[in-house]
Amino acid sequence: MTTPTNPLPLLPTILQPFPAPAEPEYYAPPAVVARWERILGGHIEPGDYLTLPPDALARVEWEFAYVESLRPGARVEGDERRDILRSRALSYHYGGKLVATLYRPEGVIVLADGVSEIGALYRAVKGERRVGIATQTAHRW
Amino acid sequence: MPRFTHPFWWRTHQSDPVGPLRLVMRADVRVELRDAGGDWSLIECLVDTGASFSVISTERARSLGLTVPRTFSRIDLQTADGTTAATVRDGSIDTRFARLPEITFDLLWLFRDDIPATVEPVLGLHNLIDLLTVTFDGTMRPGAMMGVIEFVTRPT
Repeated sequence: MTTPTNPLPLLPTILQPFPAPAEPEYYAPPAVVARWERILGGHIEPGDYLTLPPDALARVEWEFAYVESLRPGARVEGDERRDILRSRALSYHYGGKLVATLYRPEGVIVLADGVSEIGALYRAVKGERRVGIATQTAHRW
Repeated sequence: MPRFTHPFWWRTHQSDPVGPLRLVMRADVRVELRDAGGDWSLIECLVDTGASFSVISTERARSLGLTVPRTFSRIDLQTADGTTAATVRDGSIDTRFARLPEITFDLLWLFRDDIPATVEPVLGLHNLIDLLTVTFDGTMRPGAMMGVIEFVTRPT
């Protein structure tokens, strides 16, 4: 007997609905939750923003110079420069990880790191308080 | 028609120290997905014209509180690495672009059980191109050294 490789669907929904899967247990430590409340309440501290150490910043400046050499007369500036610096800062600290971020003109803030904290964040933060929070997998450094 | 552009993400990369420097580009865009409670979740997606479907990890969708269909199917997915059997759930999610928040699209998504939450969601062809015209334009412009992706809504 062979098993079909592609049954679509496995069972008719109307006859036998599958039970809802159990909700995973999402958790964030109290200190992390308190930090969300502070930041989303508008009390952002300079240390909340990710920064690049001098050697990493030099690497990014070199990247800008290299790309500008490919596009004579062009400059990486303005919003593009700001966006790339924020992206690289995220990559430097969290490359390859799933994170919830908050972007501000001053920089990028990581609110939650990993599925569990993100699940907890999205269950704690609703409506307008969620505006600007994004989940993404940080590019590798 | 309502439209917006989004710059290509880029970086330089030297995977082989004795090889040439590589300029890496990615076509990504920020979209928002609406959960059952009416709240929007902002995610970053790859735009992949080689993908038939828009795909998100089931694990990531659950963490965002999105409604994940209970029924699932086994299908063969053609990927860049070949064909792979995958467990998927078909769903339709209210979706909007962060740069075009005034328009909500009814977009079909595949939820994949067998990929981790770290896999970036993908915007594929079906049914995106029924809703929008997507153009890749490498023309350099202020704020977009490597060009842009342009999204133009289509008449319904």
